[in-house]
Amino acid sequence: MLFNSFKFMVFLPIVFLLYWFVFRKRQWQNLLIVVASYIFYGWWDWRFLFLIALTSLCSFGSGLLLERYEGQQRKQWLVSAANIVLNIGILGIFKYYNFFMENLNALLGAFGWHLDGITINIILPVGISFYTFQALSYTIDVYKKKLPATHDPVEFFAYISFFPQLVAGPIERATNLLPQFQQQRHFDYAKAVDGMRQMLWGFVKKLVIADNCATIVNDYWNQYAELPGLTLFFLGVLFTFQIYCDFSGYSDIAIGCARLFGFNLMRNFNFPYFSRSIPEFWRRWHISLTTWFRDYIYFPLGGSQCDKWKIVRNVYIVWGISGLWHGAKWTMVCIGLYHATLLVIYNLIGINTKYKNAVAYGRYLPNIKEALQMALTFILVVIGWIIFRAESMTQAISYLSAMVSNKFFGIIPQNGRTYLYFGIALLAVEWLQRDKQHALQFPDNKLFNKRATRWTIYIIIYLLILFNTGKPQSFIYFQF
Amino acid sequence: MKKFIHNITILGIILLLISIAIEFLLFLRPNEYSYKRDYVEEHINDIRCLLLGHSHIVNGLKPNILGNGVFNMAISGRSLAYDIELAKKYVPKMNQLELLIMPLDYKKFYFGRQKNNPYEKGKLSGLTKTRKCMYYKYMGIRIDRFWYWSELLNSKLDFMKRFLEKDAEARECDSLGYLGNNLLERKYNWENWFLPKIIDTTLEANRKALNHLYTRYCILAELTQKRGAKLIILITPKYKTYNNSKNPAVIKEMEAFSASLKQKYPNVEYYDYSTDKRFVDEDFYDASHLNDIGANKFSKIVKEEILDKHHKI
Repeated sequence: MLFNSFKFMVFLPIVFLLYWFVFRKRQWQNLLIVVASYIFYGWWDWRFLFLIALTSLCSFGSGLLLERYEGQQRKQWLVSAANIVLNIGILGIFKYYNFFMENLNALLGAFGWHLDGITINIILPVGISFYTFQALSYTIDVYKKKLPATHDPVEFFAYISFFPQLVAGPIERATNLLPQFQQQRHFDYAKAVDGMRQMLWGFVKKLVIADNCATIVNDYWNQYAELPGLTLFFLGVLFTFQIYCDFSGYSDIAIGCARLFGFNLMRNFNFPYFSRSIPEFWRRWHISLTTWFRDYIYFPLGGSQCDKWKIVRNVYIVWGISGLWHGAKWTMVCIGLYHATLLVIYNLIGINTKYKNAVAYGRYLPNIKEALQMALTFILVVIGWIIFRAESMTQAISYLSAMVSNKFFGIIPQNGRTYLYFGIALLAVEWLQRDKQHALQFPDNKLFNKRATRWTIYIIIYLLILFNTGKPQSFIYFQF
Repeated sequence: MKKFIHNITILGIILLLISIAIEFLLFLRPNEYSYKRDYVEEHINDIRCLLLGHSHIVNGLKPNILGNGVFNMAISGRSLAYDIELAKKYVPKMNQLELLIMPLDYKKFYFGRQKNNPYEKGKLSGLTKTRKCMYYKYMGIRIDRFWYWSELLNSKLDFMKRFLEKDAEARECDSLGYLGNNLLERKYNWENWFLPKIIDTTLEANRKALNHLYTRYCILAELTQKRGAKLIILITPKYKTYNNSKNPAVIKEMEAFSASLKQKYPNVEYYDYSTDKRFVDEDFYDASHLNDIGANKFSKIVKEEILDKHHKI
């Protein structure tokens, strides 16, 4: 079930009313969440439910075993290793098997050997990378004694399958989300209203910007050989808006939706296009994934607490895996390595951990240095997204070469320009709200405390969505 | 909680009322569908030549060149099912009708089989809903039991444009139903837009679909025959990339199809302009559609070679 569907518009109020009016006890609410989440997920393909149930069951069982073998480190290690291997194995079969086999076949082909019929016809279950990582985080955290194992299968199944964030994140940590299932939730008016506002902003991003940009990008992308360099760059910028609005729009809807049920999910985007460096960009983009890799891979490898060459090695390992997480394609590995290289460069020139506050804090406009830094970071990010969007590395290289070698000036599609202005307007609103959790978090002042002001804004946004909704597109991150 | 439910309900009602008002205002604004219906109903006794079909006709034939009493009722993307319903609705009432012009091209052979074509299953679902809504709401044609009246829920057309533009612009087509493509707005790589799609003629489902298509054209032929009019089936000019992409098996099917139809119904005439050498690069908007320059040229040719020669409209 898609957030931007009529079905979800019916589904959400029903679950909301049952949750707060019928199933008031915590245990019943958790059970309702499991049932609702399985309906939500099963709407795509009911067969995938067995997979998510298997993942949940194994991780739940591993938690209990880890508790039983308290003090027996070797057994605990074996249990957690077995669960990690199982989860990664499921992910590997469904997501990476064909990729590895095709590449193995190509490699063996170089020596004259061919393996026939080694690929399998398999559908990638929606959101498998997200819930698998969530399950892994539980096992690792229980193993590391960051949280006790849960004895309630319902609350654990609810944690893995919680429908707002099930298919495209944020990838929650057991330490944050699981305890929330263990406490009685109380309806909080301010929290629910804020959740609704965040959902509304998410819908604007998805329906008005992402879907419309997608139409233009899809129409023109494959004609890169004949388009002028400026148009190619412009298409790259449109895709940059598309991917941001698509993914952060989903996260906004997910976080807002969870707030309606009394849950606080972690922040996933923090206005990443206002970053002054690539490291800052990755502290603001898909935060739940980057911090996951940081905590469970980068730090165990030694993180930054080792010599320079090991840091470089660690960065490349983490970003290579991160690239593969995004998809079983060489372009994804290359985008990971591209960003790893940029991060290493920033690291070597000593600005890796700079810029942790909001840009131009306390001012309306950035200074010239900040503006130039943001522009450079944005261009580097656009180049990265061009590689990400390309169907193959050959296409990515050809596209980037065409940007330079084709004549530079030329016509930019009129409808594309319209959505470029929309994207710029969206960024302008986000710029003004960059110290907030989301762009529709109203400031506490006389103007916004009036209901008339707030409701006028809601109505304007509703009309904006009504009149400018693009052709419905699936969320990009579903494929991961 | 009560406050939340109360506020959500009030806001929901306001938004619902706004939506109903927009839906109602949209109904009052002209559009291609309502304009063409109104025109045909007002001039039902004056129309001597009616053009039906899809974008190849609406973008390719100009009634003001073709002569008096000609009206272009074709609309982009229209499937044959709607053409038949429109013909059933209006042809028996058109006292002066002499000609019904319909396209027979690769598109019809492809889209006529859409449901059974494994290569294209479900690709047009968004537009299908839009068309169901527009034909239901503005032309009174309902091809299934569902209620598609609401444009806000079903149509993907540009609502804002309808509100902001003047009546003549909102309806998009000219007063006689022609809708032009501007050469200046031609897209990059236009030669490769709207090329014929792959179809496997050996599939049993596709063979059945072809028979079904034949029966549908028979309905049109019978309707015009009863009215004492002719059914002109034509193929509009196509660019060389399009012609090069055609499947020879489908071309043979089309030739056999038109020959059989002509044999069965003497009032049927068939003209194929797909490979006409008089049309050059500047006449095309994309591989299968003419632009305004091409439409001028094609309309003059159709007038001279079909309308004037045989029918004197």
